[in-house]
Amino acid sequence: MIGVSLPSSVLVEGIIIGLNYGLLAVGLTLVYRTSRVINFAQGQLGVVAAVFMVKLYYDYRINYIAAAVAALVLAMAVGALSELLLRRLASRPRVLLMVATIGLSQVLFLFTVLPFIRPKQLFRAFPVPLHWSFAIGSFVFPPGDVLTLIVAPVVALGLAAFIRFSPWGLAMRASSENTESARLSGVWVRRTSTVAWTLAGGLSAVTAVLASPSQTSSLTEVLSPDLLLLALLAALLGAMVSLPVAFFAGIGVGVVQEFLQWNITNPSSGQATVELILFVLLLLALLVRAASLAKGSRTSERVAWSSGTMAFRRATSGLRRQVGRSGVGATVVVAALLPLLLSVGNSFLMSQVCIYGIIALSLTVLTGWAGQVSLGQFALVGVGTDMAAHLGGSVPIVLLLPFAGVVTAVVSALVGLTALRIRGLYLAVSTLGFALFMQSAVLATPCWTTPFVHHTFCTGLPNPQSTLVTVPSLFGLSLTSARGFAWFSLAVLVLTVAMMRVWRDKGIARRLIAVRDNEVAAGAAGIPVVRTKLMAFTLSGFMAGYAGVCLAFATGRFSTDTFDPTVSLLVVSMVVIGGLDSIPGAILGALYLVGLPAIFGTTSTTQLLTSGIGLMAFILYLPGGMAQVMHQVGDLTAVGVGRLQRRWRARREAGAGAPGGPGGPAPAAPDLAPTGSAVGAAEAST
Amino acid sequence: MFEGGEPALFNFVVPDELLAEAVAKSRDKGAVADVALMPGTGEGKPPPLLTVLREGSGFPPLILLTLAAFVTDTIVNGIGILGPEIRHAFHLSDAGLGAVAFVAAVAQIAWGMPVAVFADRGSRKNVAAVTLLVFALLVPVMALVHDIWPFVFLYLVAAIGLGSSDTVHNAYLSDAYPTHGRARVFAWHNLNDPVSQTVGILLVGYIASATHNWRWALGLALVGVPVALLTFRIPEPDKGANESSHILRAAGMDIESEQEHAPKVLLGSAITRLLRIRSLYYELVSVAILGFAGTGIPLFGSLYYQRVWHLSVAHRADVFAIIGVSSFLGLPIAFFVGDRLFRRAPEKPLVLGGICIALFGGFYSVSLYMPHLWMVVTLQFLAQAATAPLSICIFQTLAATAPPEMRAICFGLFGVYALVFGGFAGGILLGAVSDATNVTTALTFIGPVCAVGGVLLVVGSRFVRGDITLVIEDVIERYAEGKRRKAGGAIPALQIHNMDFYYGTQQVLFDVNLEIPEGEIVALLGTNGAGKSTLLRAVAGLDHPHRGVIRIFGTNCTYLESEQIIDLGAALLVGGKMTFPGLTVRENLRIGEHTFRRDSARAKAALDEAVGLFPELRERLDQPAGTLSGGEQQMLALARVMMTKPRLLMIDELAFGLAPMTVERLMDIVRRVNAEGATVVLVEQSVNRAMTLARRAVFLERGEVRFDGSIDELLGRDDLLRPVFLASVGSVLGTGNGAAAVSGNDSAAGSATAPLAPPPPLPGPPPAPPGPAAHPATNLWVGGAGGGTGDGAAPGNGTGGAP
Repeated sequence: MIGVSLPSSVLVEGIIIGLNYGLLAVGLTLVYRTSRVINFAQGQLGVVAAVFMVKLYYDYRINYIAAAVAALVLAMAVGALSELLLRRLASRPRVLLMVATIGLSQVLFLFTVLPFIRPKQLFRAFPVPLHWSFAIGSFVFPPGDVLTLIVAPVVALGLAAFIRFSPWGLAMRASSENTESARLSGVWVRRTSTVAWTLAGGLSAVTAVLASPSQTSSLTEVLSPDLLLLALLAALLGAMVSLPVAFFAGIGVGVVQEFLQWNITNPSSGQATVELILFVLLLLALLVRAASLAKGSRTSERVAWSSGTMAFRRATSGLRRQVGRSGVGATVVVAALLPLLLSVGNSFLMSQVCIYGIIALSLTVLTGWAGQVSLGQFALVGVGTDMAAHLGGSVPIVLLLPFAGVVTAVVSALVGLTALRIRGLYLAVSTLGFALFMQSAVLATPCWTTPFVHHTFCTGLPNPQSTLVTVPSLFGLSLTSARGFAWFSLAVLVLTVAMMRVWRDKGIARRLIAVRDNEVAAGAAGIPVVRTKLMAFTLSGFMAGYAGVCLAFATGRFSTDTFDPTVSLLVVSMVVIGGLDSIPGAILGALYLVGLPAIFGTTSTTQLLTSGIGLMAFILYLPGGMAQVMHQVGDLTAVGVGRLQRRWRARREAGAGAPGGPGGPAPAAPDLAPTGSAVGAAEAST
Repeated sequence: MFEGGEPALFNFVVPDELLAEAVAKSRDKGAVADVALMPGTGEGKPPPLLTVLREGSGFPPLILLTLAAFVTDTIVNGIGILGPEIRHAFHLSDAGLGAVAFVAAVAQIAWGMPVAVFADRGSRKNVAAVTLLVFALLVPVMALVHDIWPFVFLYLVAAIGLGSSDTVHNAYLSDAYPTHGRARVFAWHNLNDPVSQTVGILLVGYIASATHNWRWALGLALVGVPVALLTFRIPEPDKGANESSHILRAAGMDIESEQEHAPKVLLGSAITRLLRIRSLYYELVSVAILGFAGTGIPLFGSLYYQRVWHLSVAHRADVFAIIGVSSFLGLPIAFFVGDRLFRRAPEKPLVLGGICIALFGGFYSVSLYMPHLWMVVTLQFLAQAATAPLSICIFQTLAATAPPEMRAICFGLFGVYALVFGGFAGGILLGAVSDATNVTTALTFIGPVCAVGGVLLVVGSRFVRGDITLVIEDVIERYAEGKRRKAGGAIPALQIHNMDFYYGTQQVLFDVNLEIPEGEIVALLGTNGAGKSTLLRAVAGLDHPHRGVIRIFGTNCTYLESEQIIDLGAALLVGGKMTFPGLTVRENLRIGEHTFRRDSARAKAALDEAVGLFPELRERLDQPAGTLSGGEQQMLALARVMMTKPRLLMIDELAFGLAPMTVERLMDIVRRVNAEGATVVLVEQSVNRAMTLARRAVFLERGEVRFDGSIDELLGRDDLLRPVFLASVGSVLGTGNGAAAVSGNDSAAGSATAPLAPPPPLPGPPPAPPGPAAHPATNLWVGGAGGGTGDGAAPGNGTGGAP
């Protein structure tokens, strides 16, 4: 690492890549400003357009310009439709909306499979209308790059002018500042938001069409998560507000990336180093920009980004509580007996569901209770799994579980340190960065050497392609059988739930929620805000850590692919589907997303249900998640049981009091009071 | 001006009194109107269909619309039958043909809503005629093209004709014929369904085979042209005229069917209103369940016959044809029973619907396990027969519970739920189960799902009377309003009639009635959580009430959005929340001229005027508004609101967190605006400040209007004010503003209401725990020395109330 240089060819290449980041970043910012959500579907909007364009160009032999226009129109239409779809969530917690965009991106992926959009051949050179190319030194820039250099700045400038000078632009800015006030002034806020999404769709299409010619992998992966992450980095540098800053920051990110890759050429750990530096840059950007986010009208999102989740409900009537308890008891009993009935495969599945349940619960603590969004929870699980890979053979599992938990808790607290400064969805970005960094740098590098001390640490997976662990025994009981491990995982899950119940009852959860909902007031009430937040990360990390150990033993073999950042998104989906801040909800979510595919087989239909569309449907029509349904069922049961009890009591009294009397329908209105109020309370809180 | 609360305000209790007579408490929540008031109900048997037709618009509309639906349905079913030929002609793959069918289905759904919106805004018969004409003219052109893309494109456009038959036709028929014959009219119109599936398909098949060319069969659509042209000639009934005449006659009022000029309600707001119909929820869910079965059965039923009974394609077609005829059996049930049930009790048809859907599911599930094919077919025939009355029952209820001017959209929702939610989700779910197990198991699921649907319909039927009551209230309100206008009464700036408002399931406003004549300043007073802000938000269109009517300058704007309400000349200013901090002051003001931004001269004048009101803004035009002080921001907000020159200015806490000096200036502006003729509604926490502006006060407590009259009189109502404002009244006494009169009143009121109004230390009502704590602080800076006098006066009040 002596000769650091930046040849002009690398600079130009960086600018070209950066222009794409910039356009994506502008689209992200645009959507963020009007809908207050990081649009994880931003890349996918354009991919649909790019695929469609290839279809038109090659399969229908439509000329480039017409095909490009058609693709652009499609992307804009899809963007507008997405907004119409997500509009329902306008007043819901932002976490829901964000997860909805994750679902949306999966739905959009399905679009590319539709027969009238998918081209016959996906791996064909993407069309380019120009034939110009130029060379700097020995490096030849193909026509696609020339196109990017011409089109991207023009589009960016045009958009900037539109936002800056047109009434639509002003309306857009006004409605993002203060929605109600804009509406009261006659600005059609919803239409404005639709326009923003339409523009974002168009931008994404432009990006995809520009980026595709230089793409080597499949067309549908043109705008992958790590590319989106870098675009997010740029958008964050613009504080999710400034379009010009986002655009130029995108260019900067591209240049930095190329610069790093040019200078760090160590084949074994080079990529890891680049990732590390980019991750550090991301954190720095966040830390620096976080200060500028502290002013302006957007205090609401900084303080309690996920507030407005379902209220923390506790049954007020004794009967309702009894119903709940019996439900839980019955479930535990059934679950404990289940491995006796299940086949080996399904026992394995059951342990998977239990472990994912624990992981989801760890996110319930962090996101549901503490309001800190994490898109990197599975990376923490990776820490635990990594510990199991290294220590699984030597340390007994009873010790390994808490030990891995503690280590992961420390890592989690370190990640959480950034959260002291970075809030709301900015934390989502830094944790997503963490997830990518863990996967592609830490876990993928078996051993690394510190630069100055030259000491080698082996912290990664021993074999990134395929690491094996042997299942240990528990007090002499072998856990190698699937059934045995299912019981073990169930026991861990039950212990976890019991532990969380204690946290909930002893006030830890209360403090977390207080800080989530109103930091200032919580601080004023004597709750140490910083410590409470760190505690959330620590507790959550602890749970993720031992869940990781369990996961390692449950699967037995894993690779870096196991820790793909998309799995973290899956975990977030579990929590959202189950119901934020609900303990049984998280487990139900895990059951739905992990169990359902396995029960019904991995048919395309189940995949569809459990991903994208199912997720969207859940969020759109059951924002309270499965917990909401469960609570309602519980309430109804309580009402029914109450009615039966009363009728029974009335009959007994009638029988005892006046045997020959009228004995007519005794239950009167006042009788309904106890259960009625329970239901009333439940309704009020939904 | 308003004095003492007699003339203008209480004039309007007419409909309420009428309702009060008719309304009886039932076991359901809320008041429900007497059955006699409900359109379509009555004693004895309903009159025969011939009478119904004669009373209504005669034979032609029903016959023409049935024909129109027959033509479109026949062509669609025919294209399905001609699938193989079409596939061959355009060299399509199976998947390609499937894609065409998919696109057509999507188009049909997609057209439904826009067409319904047009129909609700304008003439329904014209919309029906135009859509049919487009269909009838385009389908023959489809027969002429030789490429698949033009074919698909034409099909997409022609699908507009399909989009109108369930929405526009049903909405038209609801108004064209008296309410007591609806089930029969709908059943008659629905006949097109089985007829097109039998006679229609045979016709298409015959033409195609006789000419040896499928393209000729599409020429059948040309029948639609004369039908469409004749449809233009049928009368256009007034929307809701049948309901109005029935209700007004039953309520003993003279009938003047007068179509009110209805403002343009947007689709979104219309849906908001429609989803307030509680029974509609249940109907839509069961419709979705029906769609679930309706999509699943053709797809997987065919698979069932193939796998379980090993039937060939031809035999399967025969089986489906036999089952398809079953509607001929089902529709007469609806025809003969529907109107009678409704006549006796309007919720009964829905119960019948619930039974039907449960029967359908039961028959169908059981049929799958029959040992002989004939048993299977018989049971499925019965099952299918049960679905025909179901849709009629739901149509009937929809027509009765939806506001007449939104009926087409309501029927449109029916289609959306059936096809999108039910159909789409149904296809996927059944597919998943079928893949995992087998097709029989998957189809068996239809049974329990339909049972749930049946239960839901029965549960939903409990709300039908309440929902019809809402329609009745609207009619009576409109009638009273029209009558008043005819009598030459002045049109008030703001009217609120019978308004209920909920946040979720929490009711915030209870039957609020309020009328504000033009040019007045009215103060809305009350505790925190009394519903003052909610009231203004509802008027400004930020939220919509769940019951009742809001009129601004006589225009019914209950379901208008705030973006539309500003055009009526009403503006809302919310204290402390109205600026755009990131935008410069100039840009803030440019937002103020947003509604007339194209009129540059006016925009410029408005901007100059706004800056003229507050000169300090001029120096800061290019500074972000977030950097202004709180007072300046409020000035900016007021300046911006003034730019539209509102005739009705609503202010929610003008003094929100501001210094007295600033408040004084802002209040001067408000006075000036009022002097220029604008009506002002002011939400205030402080009675003292309200007094300096307003002469009339409306006092809200826990969402109910407790007092409406002159503000001086309110000051005498110690029972109202004391638990709420505590020191506030005292400080008024201290400043000597009519002290003698007020104290005189005080003792009288105090003794009279002693048992009602607890002494001050008692906690306030539950919804407003922070109330008492907040008020002394508010009053501290009123008049500078307010704190001192307040403290002094509070014990005085206590002693006054003690004996």
